Amino acid sequence: MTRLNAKYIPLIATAIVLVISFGTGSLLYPNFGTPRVFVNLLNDSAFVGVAAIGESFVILSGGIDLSVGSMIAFIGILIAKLLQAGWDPFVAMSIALCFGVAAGTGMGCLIHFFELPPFLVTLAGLFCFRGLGFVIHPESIGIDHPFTARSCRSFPF
Amino acid sequence: MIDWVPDLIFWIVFCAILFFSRKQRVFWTVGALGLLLLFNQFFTPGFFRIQLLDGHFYGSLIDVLNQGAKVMLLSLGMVLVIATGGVDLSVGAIMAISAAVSSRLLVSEHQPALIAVAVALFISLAAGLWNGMLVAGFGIQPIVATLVLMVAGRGVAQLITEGQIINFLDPTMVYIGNGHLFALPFTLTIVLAMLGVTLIVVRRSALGLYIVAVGDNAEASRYSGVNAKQVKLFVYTFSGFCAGLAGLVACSNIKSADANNIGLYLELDAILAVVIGGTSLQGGRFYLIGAVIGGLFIQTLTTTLYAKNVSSDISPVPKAIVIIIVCLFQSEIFRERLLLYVRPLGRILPWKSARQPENLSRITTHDTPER
Amino acid sequence: MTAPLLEIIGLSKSFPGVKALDAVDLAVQRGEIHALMGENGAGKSTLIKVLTGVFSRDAGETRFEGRNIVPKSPREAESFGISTVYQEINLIPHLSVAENICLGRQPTWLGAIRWKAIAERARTALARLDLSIDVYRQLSSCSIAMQQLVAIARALDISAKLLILDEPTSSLDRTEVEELFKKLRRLREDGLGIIFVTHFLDQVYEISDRITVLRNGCQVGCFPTDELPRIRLVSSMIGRAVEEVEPLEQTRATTATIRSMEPVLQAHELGKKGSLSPLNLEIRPGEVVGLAGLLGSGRTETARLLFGVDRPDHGTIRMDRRDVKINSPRAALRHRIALTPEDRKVAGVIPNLTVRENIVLALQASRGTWKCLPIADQIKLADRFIKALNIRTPNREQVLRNLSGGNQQKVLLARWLATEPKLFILDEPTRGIDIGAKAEVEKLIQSLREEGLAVIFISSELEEIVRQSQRVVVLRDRRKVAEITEGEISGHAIMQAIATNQLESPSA
Repeated sequence: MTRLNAKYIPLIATAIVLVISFGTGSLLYPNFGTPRVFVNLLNDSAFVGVAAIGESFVILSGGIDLSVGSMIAFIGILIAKLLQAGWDPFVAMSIALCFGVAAGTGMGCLIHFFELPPFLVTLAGLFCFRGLGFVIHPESIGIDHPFTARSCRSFPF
Repeated sequence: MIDWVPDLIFWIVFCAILFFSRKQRVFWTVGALGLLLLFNQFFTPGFFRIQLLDGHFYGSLIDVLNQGAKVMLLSLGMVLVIATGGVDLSVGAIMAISAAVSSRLLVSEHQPALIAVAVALFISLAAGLWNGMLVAGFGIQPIVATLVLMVAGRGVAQLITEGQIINFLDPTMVYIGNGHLFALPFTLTIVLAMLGVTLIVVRRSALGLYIVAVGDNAEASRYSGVNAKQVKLFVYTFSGFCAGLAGLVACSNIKSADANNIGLYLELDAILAVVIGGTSLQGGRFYLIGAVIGGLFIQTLTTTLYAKNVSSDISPVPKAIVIIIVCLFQSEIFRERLLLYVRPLGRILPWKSARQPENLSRITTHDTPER
Repeated sequence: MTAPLLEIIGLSKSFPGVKALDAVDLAVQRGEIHALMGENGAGKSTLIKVLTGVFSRDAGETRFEGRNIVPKSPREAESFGISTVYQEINLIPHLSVAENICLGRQPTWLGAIRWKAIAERARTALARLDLSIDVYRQLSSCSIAMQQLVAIARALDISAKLLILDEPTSSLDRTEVEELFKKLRRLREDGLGIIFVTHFLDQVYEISDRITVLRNGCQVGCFPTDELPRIRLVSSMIGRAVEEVEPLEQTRATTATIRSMEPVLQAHELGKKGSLSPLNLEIRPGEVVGLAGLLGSGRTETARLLFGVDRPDHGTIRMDRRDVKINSPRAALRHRIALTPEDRKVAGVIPNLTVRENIVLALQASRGTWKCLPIADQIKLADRFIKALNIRTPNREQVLRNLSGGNQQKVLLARWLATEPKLFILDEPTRGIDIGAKAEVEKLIQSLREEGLAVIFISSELEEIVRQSQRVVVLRDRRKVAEITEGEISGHAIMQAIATNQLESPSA
């Protein structure tokens, strides 16, 4: 019982806040409390959740990673550009993943071998990827690939 | 007027500054700035040209001073926070709040500019106080505590502006960011005034001593009777105030309050300015003038890129490279390795490594020989 | 006699400027609890670290189970069968008991952790100590005593043949110590060799079979416990044989004058659970009261309570006939109490501030933030103390980090002298400083006394206490056991008080 309480309090608290806010929204706004809206919420926050998993490891081990947001943007542009150039979506995604791993490893090496402060190194990463995104392509690129259309279709509820 | 005379005068003055600061930590910061300016001297024609029009000075250098005011103001507040071993991530958001409050009062509530400014500054102070209470009173980690306002602050600013971008034309308000005093931008006056005030407060009172003591060895400071909580409360409040001032300058620059974009990512620039200025992120000895010059450096970098027609979207990349270079040079391991390859350099420059030798165990005990 | 489990012969280890171990011998049998004792700086910790591979050795041999070994790391030492449990429990509070016991050695299957196997293993390890607790509970939810047992279980689980316990009982109360000792006896019966490092005299006599005493890096002797009278143990640790040290000349008149004055401070039943049993202490202006006792006897704890670093949960302090609450160093400063702490690196030296800044810090803190000491006054003050205390520094703007230990200590003394205190508590002021500086500090204390300051002087060196004090309060195992007044102060008397079983007599 003690184990349950102590460890899970932050989680329970967050869950309660989530329930309260969703509930309040449902009461105040019409059509808010529908499954469709809930699924959309999950959809929209998916990428944040995934990034948070990665960030967890960094923070757990005592560091911090400020570059996550910029990296997300950069990878997006990279994939879009590759798709636009006619690459197969799986190949494009693989390249993007490899790049992400390489970038993270690179920052990790600087932090570990030279004992640089994680804050500043990932800050540099943040700046770097923000800029690199624009190097690849200055404007936003629409993704019109049949693969993505397929994977984004929501399952009938 | 012969073209190269003003440039020559500038460089003579600059070298004099370098010479007189050669024993200080600021030397490195000024040196870095000098390198950048040197680059511009050769590769950006007209960078140093200053013209006098309508009784005001114009030119790239003036632009640097004008645009750089925001970062310089932020770094003034940030350097004291970092000196106590903390960090303030919320300054960008506080800028937005300050801009929103002042514009709202000016336009919707039809208040005179001075009232709008005063209230905005007061609210920024309160925001800083909030940060200070979280850190000093509740003992929350500074990154986390200031993250709260960083995330929520823009939302608050949006609420105040009701989601709109508020435009204003009030002459006093516009003067803050665009006016001129003694032919130089008024923003420069603001920065110099704040720098002066901060220097006086930090040196004339015991605060400077306390801040360094708390950042260097908080426990020993406590044993010596220093009220660490009060010191921390002060630095965060002051940082909030500086952010408020910067916010006013920012919105005045564009004659509007854009809660989304004002001060975006500027907190990171401020931290960078402080680090370039020689203050360590761990806390302890801080360098006010260094931080301001660090801000100048960042702005010069931005302006240089702009003058070279590098798109402002891409400009973060060179910034990133600069950060890494600065960090590497501040890392002892890197310096040691570099010295291995560049022996002679070690004799000229003061690069003593303070790292501990041998494999000292991290397990603490009571009778380890003193080092 | 069977071959010893562990035999250390002629072990030596030096650090720059310090000879930590000088040809030390140690032998531990199977099924023996062997106590390792010595004062601060004696070398106990270094010995353990060399034995377990943390430090490399300069000379000497280590034979374990008859074989010569040279462990290069704690892991390697563990693989031989030598495990250590340190005073600060080096476990992870957020993990469960089971995870902690198996940390670094989790049973895996194709790379995946077998959680059930971990739990099983943990239960088996704990069973060796007759423990059965919920292995899934978080370590931090267990008491310190329990955490210690978990640490011991872990050490045993690493198939230990020799268990080294470094100060295992510092944070335990009476019943917990009993429990621990029961388990240790059981392990001894199983044939384990145990090295038990401690400074608690009573416990050593209760549990150990033999005692090895170190002093200044040398082995002073190895004695079977039953054959070693306490007084001999204490004297071999502190280093005084039977010779006497002369206390400084005090005229009877001076003593009488002091006696008649109002006490600067009276502590009545001052105590704090877990750190100090309630004691009484009184001190008058111009008096030097020495606090004597072995390491860990509660002297620093007393100083911390008097200075407000720790808050007492028992008792009162009176100054100027009024009860005062000293809840923080700032409050102590207000009441004109000063303290130079025992661990000057942690609680005293501010390394990147200059000599001048370090000296004026406390004085400035007492004046508040806005009444800044003018630079000229700071310079005068700094110079005055640099001269008075003979602080060796190229100039007053040198950062404190660059000064030697002795000079750093003098700067700290100057810091507090600048506040002109009424009561000055000196906790090990001469530790780690050279002979010359020591003599200067002693002269300083005498001159302070003549000026009417009250001084509480804490030192591990008996000689100093005998020479300086007019009264000696003796502590043992966190309680006051005796108070020796002038005329009866001698090295012998103090050691006697430390060694024998006297409990606190009502103070004079």
